[in-house]
Amino acid sequence: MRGWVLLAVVVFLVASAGCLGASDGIGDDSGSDASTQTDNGATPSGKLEVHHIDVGQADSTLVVTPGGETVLVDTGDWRADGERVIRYLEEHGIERIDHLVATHPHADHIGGHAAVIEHLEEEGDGIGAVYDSGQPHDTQTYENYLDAIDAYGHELLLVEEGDQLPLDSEAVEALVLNPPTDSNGGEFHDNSVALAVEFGDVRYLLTGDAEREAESWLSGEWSDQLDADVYQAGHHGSSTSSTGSFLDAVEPRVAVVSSGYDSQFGHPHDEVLERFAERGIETYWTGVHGDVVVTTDGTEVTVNPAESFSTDPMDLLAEKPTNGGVQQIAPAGEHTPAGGVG
Amino acid sequence: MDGTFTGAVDRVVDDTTAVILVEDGSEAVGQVTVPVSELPAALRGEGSRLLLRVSDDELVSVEPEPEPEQADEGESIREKFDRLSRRLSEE
Repeated sequence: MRGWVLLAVVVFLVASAGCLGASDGIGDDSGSDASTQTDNGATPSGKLEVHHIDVGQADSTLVVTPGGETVLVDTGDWRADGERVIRYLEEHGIERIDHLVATHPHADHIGGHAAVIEHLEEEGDGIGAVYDSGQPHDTQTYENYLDAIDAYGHELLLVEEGDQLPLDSEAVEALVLNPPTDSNGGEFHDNSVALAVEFGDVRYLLTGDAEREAESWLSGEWSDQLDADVYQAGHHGSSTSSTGSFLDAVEPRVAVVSSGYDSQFGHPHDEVLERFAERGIETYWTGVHGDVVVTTDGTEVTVNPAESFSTDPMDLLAEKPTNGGVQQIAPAGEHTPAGGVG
Repeated sequence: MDGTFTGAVDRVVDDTTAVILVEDGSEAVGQVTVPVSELPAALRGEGSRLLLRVSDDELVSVEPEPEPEQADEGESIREKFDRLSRRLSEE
């Protein structure tokens, strides 16, 4: 049984302009619309939302700007065929994705791309543009993603460090930190698209499945851009990622892990949760918190999990099933080539 | 399920576990996870194309997928990618 613990919505206040991620005091702010001057003098208005959709052992993150522009980063695992993501979009009245991003071509990240593209093009207001890390993969899941792009007349826009997603919103920036310009293909995880989304004084960092080598590169190359208030844990909370030195560079107040409650890989790994705990990072895990929505007005950050549970990383560690990571040929429930894997 | 399928190593998780997608010629229809050390060394790379023999839902053998007999089976994934893609910075 899950030991549910009642947890109030967490709100915290960024200390001051130009001091991203350096806030102290996770508090009980009322969530008022207090705003501060941004570096360029503009006063942000409205709210930016980042929705971590609970897609099990996979990733799908929806960003909605104050003006209603939408960025969907990854679409879950191929076995779900986009159904959970499409349902989530429908529940939130979203009929168009302006910017669709694939962090990398693994089937637990692009698994719903073809279905989401087809659904929105046929029944919604379509897709604006599609962005990719630039590494084709030799699977039919990837080919079906390309076919969907082709069928609806889109291009695959390859991004690299230093690019900005061309958002209409002037108040929100989405800076691409990874892959490096000179990546020349190679390792999929470490060439994941990493995004720093900034609104007012708040920065959100997402690194896909980037592992320790990419994190080390990011720390050197983007030392001025990594300091983030909210961090989506790399690679589903695996110990391949979220190294101590990287966390010290990012200094997040909040971390969100996207992985299944019964992750067969044991995600999030104990070491990562312990690193979060050592740094006092409020931690959300879709495996127990369900959908996790981060909202900011450019100054304050509010986190709304679908399910109440402790955000103490050590409580999450204690909650993890003990059977994660079982690996063998044809493990029960996994080896079903006949298509029984749902 | 019995039979012979094609598939591919989609990913290697945490340097230990290979996730293999089982395909029917048009889409993925199943998934197998195996310790990467149990795959032949030449087939451990992500994107390795495989010929999978299955009996009673058990994976009994993994071999390299044979090369297509004809080279004109249509546009390859790489060709589609090259045709559809361009750098965002080139806009």
